[in-house]
Amino acid sequence: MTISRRTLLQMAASALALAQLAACGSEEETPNAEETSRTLSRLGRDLFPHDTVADEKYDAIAAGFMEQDGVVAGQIAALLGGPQPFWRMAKQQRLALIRDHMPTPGLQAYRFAVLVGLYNDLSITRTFGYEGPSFEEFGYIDRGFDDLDWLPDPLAQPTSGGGQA
Amino acid sequence: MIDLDDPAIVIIGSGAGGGTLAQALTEAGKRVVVLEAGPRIEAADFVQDDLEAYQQLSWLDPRVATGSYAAAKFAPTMPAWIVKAVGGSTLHWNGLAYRMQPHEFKARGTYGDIDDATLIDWPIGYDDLASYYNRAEALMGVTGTNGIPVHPATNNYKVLHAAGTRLGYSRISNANIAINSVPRDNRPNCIQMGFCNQGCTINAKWSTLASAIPKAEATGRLDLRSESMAVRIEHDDRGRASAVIYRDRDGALHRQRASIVCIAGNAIETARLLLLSDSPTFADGLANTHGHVGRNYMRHIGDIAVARMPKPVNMHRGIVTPGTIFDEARHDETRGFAGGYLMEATGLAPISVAMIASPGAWGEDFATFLEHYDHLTGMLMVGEELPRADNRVTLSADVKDAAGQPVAEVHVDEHAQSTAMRSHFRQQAEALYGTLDAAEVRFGIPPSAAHNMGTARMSSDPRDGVTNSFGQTHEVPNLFVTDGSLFSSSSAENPTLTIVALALRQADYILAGYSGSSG
Repeated sequence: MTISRRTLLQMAASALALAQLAACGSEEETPNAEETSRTLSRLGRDLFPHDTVADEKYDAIAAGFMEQDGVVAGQIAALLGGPQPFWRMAKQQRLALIRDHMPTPGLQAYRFAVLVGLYNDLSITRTFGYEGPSFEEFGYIDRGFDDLDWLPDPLAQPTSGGGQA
Repeated sequence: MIDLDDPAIVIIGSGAGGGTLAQALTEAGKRVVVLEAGPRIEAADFVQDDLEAYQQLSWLDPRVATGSYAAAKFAPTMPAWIVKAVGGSTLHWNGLAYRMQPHEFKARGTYGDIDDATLIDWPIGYDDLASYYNRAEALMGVTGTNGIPVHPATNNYKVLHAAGTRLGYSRISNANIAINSVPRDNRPNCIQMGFCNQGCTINAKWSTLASAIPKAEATGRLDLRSESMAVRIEHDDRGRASAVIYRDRDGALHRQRASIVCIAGNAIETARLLLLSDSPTFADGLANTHGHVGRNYMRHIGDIAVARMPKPVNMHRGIVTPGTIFDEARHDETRGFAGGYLMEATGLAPISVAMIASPGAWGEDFATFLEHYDHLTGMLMVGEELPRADNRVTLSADVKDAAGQPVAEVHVDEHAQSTAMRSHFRQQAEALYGTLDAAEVRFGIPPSAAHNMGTARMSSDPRDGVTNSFGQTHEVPNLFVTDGSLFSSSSAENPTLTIVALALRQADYILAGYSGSSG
């Protein structure tokens, strides 16, 4: 089972398009690039917090999104900012703001971008146990495809009468 | 090598149906043209990366999904996840080769006349197809048949089997998979790479690219034209199919004269081609006088469960769908729906878990779930979907392809019973994984359909469908359909084995010199 890149990009694009539309109508003051970058980076880690993932990864995702559409990025930062910038607020306050604004197209688009940025990154998913392409290593036939030992091997037992029809 | 003006048997599509038919006909001495819309991509070029492989193999030509189903919301230009390449969807399929159950051929007789559904019985029964199932299993190398050993149990299958057994299920099996467990058919045995959906790089998994097509080519009688997209079927003034117009990779049009035309473009494109082949005689599309072309579209009711186990699983290692629980495949209305469903163990890559499980989720709990990737296990529901008149493929009024032809619009509003079926699956999945002390179970509906059926269904009565039991259209005697479009009902089983069996039966009918009248 897989999900399509096309579907991912479509969803990101449609979320981004909606966000851009919303951005056009906004009259809020847009934070500067530095503020936006720090907000998005903090937001990324709040959306999908992994202690084992370095700040650089979240920074890179934020930078990529800002490059894709700085206007929407700024809009998100303005939406989440207050008297203090988002990244200075206490955690509970940040989470409450995210919850409140998650239905907006900008947050939806960014959530999507962070999800893909993290979970399609083999250097990150390896740390979760995924092992990536296996052809060069001759598959898992000698590398643990059946090494689960905390449950019985169903084929080592007398058959319980399985079979298809 | 077959001249355009030489009326040939023309097969449109090279997947499970078209590829199988090409092999059967050429091996019996017939010369055949196969028009395949996609390129020829060999196993050596497959990529073990979900997103890259998706770009390489998938049918990406836009379609439009409308209605209230998940695809319209989450995949509005990709209602189907199928392949555009020589081999069709046999390149990315999981290899599950299950026979339909006898009662499923009598869907209407068994389930009754259900409101808001257009159920009919198949015009054949299980017994009519049994010998063809035997032949298909031998051809494809299906484990547990023909002396072919079943695979060893993968980690993910051990989880499904143990949990299922503890819950009280007894029909659990890892047999009936068309992936070599031993070398066979000039193809090696599986080495448990875990990228079945990205094309098997060693061809341990059966596909028409790996098996049927090379065998057809070896006869010297196959003229396979890849990157050749059929755009119209012409008929003569006797109402017989006479030629296929197709577009080559440079956009130039060609006309191949045809003695017989067999459409195997998968259910969306097959319907689209018939609709695009309208004429003064067939104003609503070729062979569509009774209006069923495109209608009665079915996918299977789908759902995915992902559970976090207390100890490691490593579901990514090995056969992606290594085994299935069949207990819920029965027809039992006490559960609140007609027909049944299969519970198929499945692996998912991290990106797929993140996208499908708990759509829209974020935060610490979700991140922690992903962090425990090596403790996760997945299960796919494949459930009978009822046909409905307005679940259908039509020609889009707004969107055109690069050549200016309307693309397919695929409209689905799921029948009310799909809600009851998914609820039942989710309740069972929670209970099942609960027997192993799962920390949590998450669900999500995959938006794009890999199983596409019903859009040119076979029927006894010509007013109820498009073809007879041999896939011969009721109205155009030398025009056949050779893919899942033929299905009169979806059954609870993955469709590929039945498509291959039907193609073999159709081949025998064509070789016997079909009479030219409906049978």
